[in-house]
Amino acid sequence: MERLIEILSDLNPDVDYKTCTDLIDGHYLDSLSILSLIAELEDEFDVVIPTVEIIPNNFNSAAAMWKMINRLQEEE
Amino acid sequence: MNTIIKNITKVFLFLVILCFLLLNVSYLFEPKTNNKEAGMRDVRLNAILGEKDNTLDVLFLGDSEVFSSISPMEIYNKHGFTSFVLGSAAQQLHYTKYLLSRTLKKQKPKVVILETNAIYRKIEPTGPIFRKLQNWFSIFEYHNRWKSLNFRDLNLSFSYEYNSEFKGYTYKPGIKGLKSWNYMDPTTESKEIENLNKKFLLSMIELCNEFDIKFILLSTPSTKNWNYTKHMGIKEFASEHNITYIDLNLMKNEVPIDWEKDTCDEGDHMNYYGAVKVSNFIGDYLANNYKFENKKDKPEYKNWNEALPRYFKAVGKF
Amino acid sequence: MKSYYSLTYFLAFIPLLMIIYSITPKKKRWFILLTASLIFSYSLSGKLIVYLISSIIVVYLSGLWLKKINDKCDKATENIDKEEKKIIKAKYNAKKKIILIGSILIHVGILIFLKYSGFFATNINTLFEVLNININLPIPKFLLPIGISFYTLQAISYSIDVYRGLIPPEKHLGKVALYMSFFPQIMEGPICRYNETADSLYEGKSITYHNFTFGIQRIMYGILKKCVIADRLNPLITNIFTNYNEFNGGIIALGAIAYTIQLYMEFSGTMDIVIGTSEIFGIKLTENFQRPFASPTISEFWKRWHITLGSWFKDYIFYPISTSKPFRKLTLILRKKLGNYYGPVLAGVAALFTVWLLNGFWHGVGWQYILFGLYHFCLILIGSLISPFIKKITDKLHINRNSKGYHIIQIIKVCILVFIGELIFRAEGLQACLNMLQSLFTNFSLSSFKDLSFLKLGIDCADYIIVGVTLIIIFIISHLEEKNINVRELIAKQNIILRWAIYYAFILFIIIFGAYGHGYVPVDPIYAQF
Repeated sequence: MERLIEILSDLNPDVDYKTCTDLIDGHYLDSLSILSLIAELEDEFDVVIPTVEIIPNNFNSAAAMWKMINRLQEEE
Repeated sequence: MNTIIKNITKVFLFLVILCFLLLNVSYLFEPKTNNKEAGMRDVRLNAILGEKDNTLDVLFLGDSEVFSSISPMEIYNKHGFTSFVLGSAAQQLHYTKYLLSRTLKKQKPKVVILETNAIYRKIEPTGPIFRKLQNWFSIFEYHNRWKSLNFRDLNLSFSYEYNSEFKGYTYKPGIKGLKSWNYMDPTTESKEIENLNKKFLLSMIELCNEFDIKFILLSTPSTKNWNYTKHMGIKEFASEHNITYIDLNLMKNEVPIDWEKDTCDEGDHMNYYGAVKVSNFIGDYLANNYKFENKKDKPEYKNWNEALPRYFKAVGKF
Repeated sequence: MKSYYSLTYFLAFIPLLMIIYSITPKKKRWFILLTASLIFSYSLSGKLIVYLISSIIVVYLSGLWLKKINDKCDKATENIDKEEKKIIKAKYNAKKKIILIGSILIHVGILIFLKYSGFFATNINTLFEVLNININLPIPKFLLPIGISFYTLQAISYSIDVYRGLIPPEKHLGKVALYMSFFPQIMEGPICRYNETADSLYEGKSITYHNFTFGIQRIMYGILKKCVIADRLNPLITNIFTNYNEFNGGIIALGAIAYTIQLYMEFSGTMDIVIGTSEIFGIKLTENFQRPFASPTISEFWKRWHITLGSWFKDYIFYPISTSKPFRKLTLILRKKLGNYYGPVLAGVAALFTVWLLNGFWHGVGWQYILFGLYHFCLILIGSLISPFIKKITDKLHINRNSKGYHIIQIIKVCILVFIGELIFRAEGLQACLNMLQSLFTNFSLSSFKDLSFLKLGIDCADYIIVGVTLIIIFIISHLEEKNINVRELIAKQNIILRWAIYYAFILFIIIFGAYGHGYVPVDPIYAQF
C-alpha cells in the first residue's frame, strides 16, 4: 500500500492520496496519467490490468486500487 | 391520502396565484392605446378598436388577399355604409375567429364576409392554444414591451384613440402585371378543407347565426392563390351549409380584372386599381341585397366623413 | 412536437403522461413510458422510427446470443482442470467476439450509411476531379431519424458491456426498448449506460410531490437558459457567422464568445429539461455537464462538458486502444527509455488521436468538425506534454499553483481556447472557418466596440443587458453548485412566502424576458442535428 502511494505521489504530488476518494471524479488524474499509472502498477505488482477494470470505481481512491490489485493477484 | 390532497391543493393554489400575477402583469404590458408607438401589434386591423361602438355595418375577414382587394372607404364613398377589413398577413383561422368574436362584443354588423384563401392555410397545432393563452394573458403577446414601458403604462388606463382612414385596407399603387394567365380551368376535383380549419369555420358561422348576422364566403381574384379545385372545395362546403359563396375569379364580366395592370405582384395580390374594381362590385352587391342606412350626413359619423378626403388624398385622388 | 421546447410537450404530452402513469399499476408503468417514447419518436421522425426499432431488436438479440454462448461455455468448462478451461474459454470467446463485432458493425454501418455517404461521395468526386478521372458518383441524401447518433452509442455500449460481462443480457425486449428509446433523452442524450438507468426506467416509481416540484424547477431552469439567453443571442450569431466577411476580428471574437454561450445554454438547458422531466417520474439520468467553464485545463473541460459522450469515448475507444496488446508492449519498451511520464504517451497519443477524430466526425458531416476534433486533440496533447515543464517553471518562479489568481488565469486560458474551438465548430464550412480564424488573428480591432456599432448587429443594448443579467444569475447558481451547495434544497428550506416569491419571480422573468413569440426565431435544438 505504501509503495502504491509513492507511485501516485510521483504522478501528481499535490494530492493527499490517503484520504482522497474522488481521484477520477474530482479530475485529479487524467486519462494519460492513468495510462502511466497502469503501466507502473503492472510492472510493480506483476499483474495485468484488463481494459474492463479501467473504471472510475477502481481508481477513485488508493484503497480501491489496492483492492483491485489484490484481487487481480489472486486471480492469476 | 391526506398528504396527496394537501399537495394537490398546494399546486392548485400556486397556479391560481400565478394566474392572478399574470393578469396584472398583462395589464401593465398591454399597449394602452392602439397605435404603433404604444407597441400595438397588427395596427392595420387593430385600428378597429378606435371605431365607435355599433357603427360598422359590414366586416371583412381574411389574410393579405382581403386587405389588398377591399377598400371600405371606396364603398363608403359610393353607398354611404360602413365596413372594416380585419385582415392580417398569413392569417390563420383561429386568429380570424378570435378577431370576429372580439369585434362582435362592440359592433353589430349586418354582414360578415370571409375571404376564402385563409380557409386553406394550415393551422399550426399549437397555434390555437397559444392564441388562447395570449387572449387570457396578453403578457405572452406583449412581453417584449419591457424595452419600452413608460409612465402611461404604469397608470393602467386604456383608451383606443387611433383611427385610420384606410379602415384595414392596404394601399398598393404599384403595377407588376402578368403577360399570360390561365388559372381557372374547370375540373371535378375539389380540395378538401382540413378538419381543424373546418371546425373554426363552423364556429364562426355559428357565432354569426347567434347574432343574426349574414355570413358570406368570398374569393377575391388571385392567379397565384386560387384555382378551380379550391373553388370546388369551398362551393361544396357552402352548399352543404347553405352559405352564400361568391367567387370573383369566375366572374370576369362582373369584375373585369386586367391582369396586366391590376396586380402589384404578378397575380398574387390586387393593387389599388384592382381593389377599386373588387370594392365597387362588393359595394354594389351589398347595397342591392341588404338594407343599410346612408351615414354620410349623420353627425355621429363625422369621423368617417372627415376621413374621406384624407383617404382620397392618400390614394392620389382629389 | 418538433422538440422539447413546444407547448404540446409541456401542456399536453407531459401532463397527460403523468396522469396515465399515475393511475397505471406500478408493474405496468414501464409500458406506459415505452409507449410514450415511441409516440414521441414517431412524432419527431415519422416512418424513420423503423431504424430505431431495428436497432433495438439487433441489440436485444445479440445480447441473448452472447448469453447463450456464455451458458454453453460454463457447461463445457464444468469440472475441467485449469489449462483445458483456458483453451475452451478462448474458443467461446472468439465466437462471442464475432457476435459483438457483428452487432457493432450493423449499428455503425447504418449510421455511416445514413449520415456520411453524402460526405464521402462528395469528397471522392472532388478527388476524382483532381486526379482527372471522369467518374461522378451520385450524392445520396438520406433523412436521418432524430437521435440516431445518440441511441447508436447507447446500443454499442450495451453490446460491449454484455460482452465484457459487466451486465447480464436483458431477457425482456421491452426493457431494452425503453432503455434505447426513452423519450426525454432520445433527441440530445445524455448517452446513458444500461447498468445506470435501465432499472430505474423499469421500476415504475410513483410521482411524488418532491420529485414533481424538483423536476419542474429543473425544467424551468432549462427554459431560462434556452429562451432568455440562447434564443436572444441567435440573431447576433446568425448574422456574424453568415456575413463573416464584413466584420473585423473583434466582432468575430464576439461571435465566437456569443456562440459558445449559446451552445452551452442551449445544450445544458436542454439537459436540464431532459433530466427534470425524468426526475418527475423518479428516474435519475446521468448528468451531462458539471460547470465546464470552471475547468483549469482543456482535458478537464472535456470531463465536465458533454460528460456522457466523453466517458463513452474513454471507455469504448481510448482505453481499449491504449491498453491493447501491441500498445502495452510498446509502452513497456518506451518506459525504460523515456521514463514513466513520457513512456505511455505514444500509446495515449494514438488512442487520443482516434478519439478526437471520431469525436469530430460524430458531431457532423464536414471538414470543420474534423478540424475541431484535431484542434482539441492538439490542445490536450500539448497540455499533457508541457505540464512537467510548467510545474518546474512555476516552482522556480515561486508561483503558487494552488493560489486563486493562478486558478483564475488558467480558467481564462481554457475559456479562450474553447471560444476558438467553438468558432471552428459553428463556422459554415471549412473555407468560412479558415477565413474567420484569419480575420480573428490578423485583423483584430476593438473599433466596433468603441463606435458602438456592435449594438446594431441584430440585438440591441437592452438585449445585451438582459443576457448579461441572466448570465450573472446562472453564474451565481453555478458557483454555489461548484461549492457543493444544492440550490434547490436551499430554496426548499425557506418559508413558503419567500419560496413562492422566488418561484414567481423566476417564472415571470422567463415570461417577460424570454425571446419567444412575434419577431423571434428560436434556435433549433443544436445537438439533435448531430
